Amino acid sequence: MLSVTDLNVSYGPIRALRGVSMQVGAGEIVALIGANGAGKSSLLRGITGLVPATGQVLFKDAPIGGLTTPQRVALGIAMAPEGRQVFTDQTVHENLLLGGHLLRRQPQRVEANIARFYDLFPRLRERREQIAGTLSGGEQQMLAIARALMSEPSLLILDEPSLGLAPIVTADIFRTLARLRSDGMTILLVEQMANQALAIADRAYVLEGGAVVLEGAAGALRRDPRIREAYLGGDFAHRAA
Amino acid sequence: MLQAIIGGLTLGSVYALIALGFNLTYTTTRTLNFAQGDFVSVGAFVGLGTVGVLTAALGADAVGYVWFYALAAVAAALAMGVLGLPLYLAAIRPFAGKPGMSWVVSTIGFGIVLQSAALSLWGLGARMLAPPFGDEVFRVGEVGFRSQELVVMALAFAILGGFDIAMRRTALGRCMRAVALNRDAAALMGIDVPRVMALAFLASSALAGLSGVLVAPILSASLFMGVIIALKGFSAAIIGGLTNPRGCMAGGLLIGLVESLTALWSAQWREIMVFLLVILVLAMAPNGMFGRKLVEKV
Repeated sequence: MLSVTDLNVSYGPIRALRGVSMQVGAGEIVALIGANGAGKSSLLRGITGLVPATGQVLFKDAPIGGLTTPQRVALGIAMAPEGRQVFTDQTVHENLLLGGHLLRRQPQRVEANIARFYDLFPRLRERREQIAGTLSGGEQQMLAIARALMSEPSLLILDEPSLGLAPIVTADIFRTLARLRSDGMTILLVEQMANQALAIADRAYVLEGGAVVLEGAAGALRRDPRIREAYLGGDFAHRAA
Repeated sequence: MLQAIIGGLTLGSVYALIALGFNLTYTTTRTLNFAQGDFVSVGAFVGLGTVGVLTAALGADAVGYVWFYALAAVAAALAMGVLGLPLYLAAIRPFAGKPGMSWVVSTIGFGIVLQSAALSLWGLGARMLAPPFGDEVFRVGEVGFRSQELVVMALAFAILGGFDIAMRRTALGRCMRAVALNRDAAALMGIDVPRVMALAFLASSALAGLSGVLVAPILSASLFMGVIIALKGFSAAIIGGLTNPRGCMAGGLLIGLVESLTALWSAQWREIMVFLLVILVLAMAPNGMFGRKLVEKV
């Protein structure tokens, strides 16, 4: 579904991404793991067109490198960005309407989608007239995901959905992702919580210094000593547990 | 006293229109159009020209003139709104979203070009645009209204109210607020961000052009009148809070009132009091009375 080849992203003199190649197949959950500054967010911003990037990005076998972000969204790529970035001065309902911006000429379809995501996240229905800035972190994350889904994407990208959330809320979010996948959604997931990401993902890429240093099936990576050392708390933590 | 309040609210509602224009471009692009003043002046002259052409072609009578004036207002708003697009493309787009203040010079420069072109067309002199409902003064008890004051207030308040509702209730208003808050997130919704920015410039320029036609019958129209009006509109936006459209409107009315009430006592002190007020408000609330700090994400 998504195929990235030799992608480079630079911010001025700083090269944030150095020749990254990766694939996401239809129906897969693919995780990107790595430390702060490893280039995970730059990769996502390059894929969605929020930053200029060189290299090739194919989506459903068509090159999208020259397209603007809204054009990529129209093709079926949606992202719930890092830190949620909901529109904090608008209501939950208005945020969802904005998510359905590209379908605004079909109001019934937008309303049907909103109803669907209220079913997926009943908390959002309860708070539909509430200003998004007053929601809890978990509710904002649900809103960010629902808002991204409003454009009826075939690829959902999530940038650190667990950021700043209590473990129980994170678990809830991850259960929702699993459910979305079983409904046929393809998901590209960036996470610092490597353990949980690898538990849900089919495959994963490990980024370091703006490049892919390791890739493979999620199960294999979970057992890989290098990953355990660097991202899963290491052997010491494992023995302690 | 009441008389002065009416006069103050009249000019204040015009400042509020200009301030709203500053708010629109600031929130969506983080830039300001310092050519607003020239859009006001040139808007007034486009209005004068429209009235002149229509009167020459169709002859003048009192009833017809009301329509000519209305058409002149529409023409000025349209012409200035359309000129807002090249302003955006030439003076803002290359610089918006980038650090630096190149847009300050580029918008001032655009204004100077516009003013110079208008000067070569219409000359230096001040002219009077006749008010659409004549110079009559309506008396309600002690207070006399000039008809144009009512026209200005009615139209300005209708537009301000309409904007306020549109920003809250319409899809375009939601998009504008989304772009104002977070451009990247707005782009991820599929919103065409540059288009929204261009629209903001179109709307703010149209507001300036319309303001020109509104004030021309009150102040005499010259190609230099816009600068001080826009400066007060800018002050209104600053004290009300650049980020808050309602604050901008309130700031406009406040400045109009202060100016007009000071004039009761001493006409020379008007501008002094207005800008003292600006300094005072900023000393107490650096983001204006109703503003908040916008953090620019890089």
